Amino acid sequence: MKWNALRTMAGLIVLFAVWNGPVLAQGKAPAGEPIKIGTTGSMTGPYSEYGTGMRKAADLAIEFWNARGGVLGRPLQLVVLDDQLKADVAALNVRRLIEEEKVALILGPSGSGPMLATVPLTEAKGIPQMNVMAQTLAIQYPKGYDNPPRRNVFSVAIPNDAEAQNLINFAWKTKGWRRLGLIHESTGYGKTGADLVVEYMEKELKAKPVGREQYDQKDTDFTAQLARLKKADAQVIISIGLGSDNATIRKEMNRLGITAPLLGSAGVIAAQYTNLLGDLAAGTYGSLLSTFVDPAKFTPAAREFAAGWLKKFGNDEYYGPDKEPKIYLAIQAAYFDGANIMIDAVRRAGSTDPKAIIGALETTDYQGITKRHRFSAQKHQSITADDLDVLQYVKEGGRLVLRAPK
Amino acid sequence: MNFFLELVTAGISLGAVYALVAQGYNITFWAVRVVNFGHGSFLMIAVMVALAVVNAGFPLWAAILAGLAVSAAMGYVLELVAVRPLMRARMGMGWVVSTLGAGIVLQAIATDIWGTNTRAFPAIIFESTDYVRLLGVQLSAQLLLAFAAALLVMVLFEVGIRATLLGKAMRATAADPDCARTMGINIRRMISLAFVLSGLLAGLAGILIAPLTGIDPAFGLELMIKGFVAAVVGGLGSSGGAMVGGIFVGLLELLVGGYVSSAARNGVVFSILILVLAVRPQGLLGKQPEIKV
Repeated sequence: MKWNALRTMAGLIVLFAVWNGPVLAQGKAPAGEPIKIGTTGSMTGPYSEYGTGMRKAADLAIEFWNARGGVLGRPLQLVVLDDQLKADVAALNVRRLIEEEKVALILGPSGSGPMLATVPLTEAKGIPQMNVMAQTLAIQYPKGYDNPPRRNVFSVAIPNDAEAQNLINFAWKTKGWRRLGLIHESTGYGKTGADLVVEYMEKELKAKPVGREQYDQKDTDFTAQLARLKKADAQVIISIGLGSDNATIRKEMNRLGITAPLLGSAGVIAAQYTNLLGDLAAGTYGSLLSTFVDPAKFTPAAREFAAGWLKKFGNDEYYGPDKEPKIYLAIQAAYFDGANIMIDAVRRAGSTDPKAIIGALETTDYQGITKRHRFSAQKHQSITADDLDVLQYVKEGGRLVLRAPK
Repeated sequence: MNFFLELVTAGISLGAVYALVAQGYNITFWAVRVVNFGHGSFLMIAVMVALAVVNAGFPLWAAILAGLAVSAAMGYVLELVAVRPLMRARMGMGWVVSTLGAGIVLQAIATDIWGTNTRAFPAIIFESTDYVRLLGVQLSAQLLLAFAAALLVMVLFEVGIRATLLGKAMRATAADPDCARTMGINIRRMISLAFVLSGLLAGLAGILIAPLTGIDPAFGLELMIKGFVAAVVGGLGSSGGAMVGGIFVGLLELLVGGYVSSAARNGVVFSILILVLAVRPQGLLGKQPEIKV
């Protein structure tokens, strides 16, 4: 009896040593229960470039952390769900991420509609959520800047007011246009974006746009809206909407013989826009983060990120076919920053307790790719108009590229 | 004047395409009192197939024919699989669900094959920058082509129905199937033909609109709904009604959008639908159904 027990004990000890030996020897590989980061976004559907880009950037960030021992010694794991930019699906997904998957952090969803549908839930449960893409201010500041933000929601996305300022400053001050036409989608993103443009114009310039039109996502006809703006003799058409809808707008502008250019929000700087229009995209202006505009001015962190992207994903639709990355890799850089800031907050908090993570997030001072992100108890969003530029699509050497306009 | 003409051109052109969609509903309703609630997917499958053929290197006209052939064939399959079994079993309104389901299945298959990204459909003959000068106004050639093509198809259809023997046989089937059967007309073949024509018209409507907007497996949903409104307003089962209804809906949509507000146009169109149905339930050109007791 005793001999048998001894043999079993010895066997178990050997097994333990063999099993854990490599790990104990290395000392660096993350082990134990993974820390889950949940994300829901438009992975499929007409807006899939936004969600898929977010997922890729998060993958890259998590790979980086796991290669360096994870966080708190534990590996990170990304749980991805698809909502096709539909608010009701996003809400269901977030519920599933919190209650079934028990995620510690939530990245996204992409888009204002889904974000607005999910923040009440995450706020009630106190789960930290990072807004990486949605521009509506009410997501972080439901009662405006004069009141406290939602405790659990932080943003590295371009806020609508910063973008509105960027667009109007370009149109009014840089280009000297005075008759500005406005068209926007009927979602939260479009409506609040347009409201802010009008507000900024009235407050700072004491002026009004010559027309304000709206459309539903994936509408087939824009004739009425654009004919009205043409009748109002707009010198530029400012559009708050997404890539594929902007492509239809651009074609309709041609059909109506509108010579005024299209000046779009960040939604027009999208692969879908150029995919659908080809050369017709030339001349369109768009607002974006300035991170990758001028190769001569790339920061070392930006270069490292671009190299990491190229190595992991190759010359995909986000990086582009050249050696230098496309200008809108900046959007993916923003997602990357968002993921990193959250993971770093877990590290600084020293635990996965949501309250601790939120406390750490409120003291963020993180040198990201797009800028140095700083949060505080009152300040839950990072990007300002100074971080943005207006770019123009031009035809160069038979190809369509984005350049700073002259 | 410019503004008004721009709206009217777009309204009539779009309206003619709605009329094509409406006619697609009409044919099957007229033949067997069935409305294909998956019609939108038939619009879509023609353009997706056409685009795939173009991308494979074939000329555009061949691609369009291929697309139309597929949507016509789908019409045949729909009747065989989703309509005939339910008619045989006298399941009342079961075909509503089965045609809707067929549409969803078709959309899912298309999504599986081609993914959900929006794609550009090549311009047919005219680019978005081509125009025609009329009364000193620049009118888009693409829109005029859509209008002309839709009108031509409707006229050909009417002529075919009235002047050819096949057309007469179809009319006989629609008027009184039992009597037609005793006259030696193959009812089953006529009904299949009706569905094939319906699929063909749907495909054509889709191809006319596709160059104007991007296409993806969910393409066709809005057209399907507006086409249905056009069919009902004009009178379900009436060809002339389809044209009148289509143009009416198209013009209304554009004029309201242009003169009142772009946000109001869909609301106004559907309100008019409710109004027409309340005042004249058989539609503007429809016939009051007579029920023999």
